[in-house]
Amino acid sequence: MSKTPQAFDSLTSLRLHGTLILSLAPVAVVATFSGGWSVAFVILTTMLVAWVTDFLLRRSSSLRERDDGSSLLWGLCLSLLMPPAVPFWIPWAGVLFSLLVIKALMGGSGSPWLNPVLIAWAFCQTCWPSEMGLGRAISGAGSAQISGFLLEHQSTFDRSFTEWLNSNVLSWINIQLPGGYIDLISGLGNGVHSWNAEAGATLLLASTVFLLVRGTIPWQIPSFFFVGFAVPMAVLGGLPSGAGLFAGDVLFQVFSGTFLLGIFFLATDTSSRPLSESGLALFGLGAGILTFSLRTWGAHPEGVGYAILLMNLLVPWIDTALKKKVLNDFR
Amino acid sequence: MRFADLTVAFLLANNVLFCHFLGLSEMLGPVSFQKILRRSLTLSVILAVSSVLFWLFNWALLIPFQLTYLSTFFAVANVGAGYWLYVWIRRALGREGSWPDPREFLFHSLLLGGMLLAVGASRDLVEVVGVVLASVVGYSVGLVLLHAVLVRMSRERVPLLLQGIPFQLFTAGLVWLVLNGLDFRFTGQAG
Repeated sequence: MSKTPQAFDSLTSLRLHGTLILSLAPVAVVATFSGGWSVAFVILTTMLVAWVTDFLLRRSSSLRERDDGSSLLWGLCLSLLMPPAVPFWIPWAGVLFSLLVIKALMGGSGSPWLNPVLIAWAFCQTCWPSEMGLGRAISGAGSAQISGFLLEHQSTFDRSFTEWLNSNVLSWINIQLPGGYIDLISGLGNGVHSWNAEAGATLLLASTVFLLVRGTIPWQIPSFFFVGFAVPMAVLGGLPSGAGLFAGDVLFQVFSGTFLLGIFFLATDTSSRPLSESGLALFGLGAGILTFSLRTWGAHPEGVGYAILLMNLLVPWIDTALKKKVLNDFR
Repeated sequence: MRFADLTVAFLLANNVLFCHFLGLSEMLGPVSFQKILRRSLTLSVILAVSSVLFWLFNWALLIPFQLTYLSTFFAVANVGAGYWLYVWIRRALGREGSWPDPREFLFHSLLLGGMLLAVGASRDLVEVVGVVLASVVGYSVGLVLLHAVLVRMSRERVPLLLQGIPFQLFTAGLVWLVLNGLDFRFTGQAG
């Protein structure tokens, strides 16, 4: 339920987008550190192309919108969804598609009912599947493949830190962390990360604590998304590789790909999410279960983007089904 | 080959969507969620009966007597007859419902009959009925998704020049992009 027009909220769309960009800035820095200067070039030029296109669009259209920073956020998010080795013109084509087609035709920055960043990503994925699928695939990866891949790229830092952690901390609770996970989680590994957002997963997680405490993003979507994904992944995730029940690697799956960027920044997009609180929870839960299905049996390397887009399609149903009862409605 | 695949998929997916958006089938029109669920259940019953009948026709009549060139006709006629029988029973029981719209009747008979034809070649009856029922579930999910898109489209602020069919085609393309994500492989081990 939206507020009455006279109720003033200090959180403007410009401030919201600015906060989200600042929260993602450290992730972009770590992605550059991990993937090299070409990643920084892709991120900065994609944001620039998005801003210039949006500026020209606002000048030429009859919408007369103010600059709310959404184009810069879309450019940043889209470039973080890309693999580090992606040709620079693919994210450019993606932001041009999202601005000239999605934003222009769907009535401005607050209107698109499909997440504009993800639909641009789906456009790039469909048009250039080989360039977008560089690196490893997460979908259907078994525990042997995961540990084999991580150990192949294990750094000296990871080896020594994992040994220290296992012997001094985790031994108290009788858990042993396999090799390679510190490289994956910290973003310091060389050649481990296949998506720009994946490299900065830890910083991304830290910045979302700030966003959740301030109430910038609703807590329902990330938490129910996580539950909908992690529970079936822990129970059934080992089935495709023949490992049996309760053999799914939740830690790897959560820190891999664009999962954290998806649940905190893309699924919570204001224009394409449900209105009610229970709707947000159902949206997150559905997206989590879909992500689990797509990552376990899907043919694409990643499932988060498509899961959120599919749930975007169902938002009118969710809003209708979970509509709040009007006060004093005794019909 | 990739381009050919995409072209065929695009034509098939968008033609089904066009049927919806251009109003070819009234069954896909704006209805309530409960009504869609009831229709899905109806389709499940019709197709389960049709698949058994088609399987019997195929293996007892068409293949032994080398009449397989008639299988397309039989598959479509099967679903058509099932659909007609359903409406006739409802009318006989005095429940709501009239004779199906000819366009709706043709649309469902062709679409679902074609699917029946594709799976009817299997010797295993359980497999045929299973695939048919799974297709009905997919078809029902499709109905729900498309109806949600229709609701969304009705709320859009669209530029004047693009209102109507251009925007419907544009939306159909976007939905096709999203449905591309539902690409599953069931071959077991990850490669």
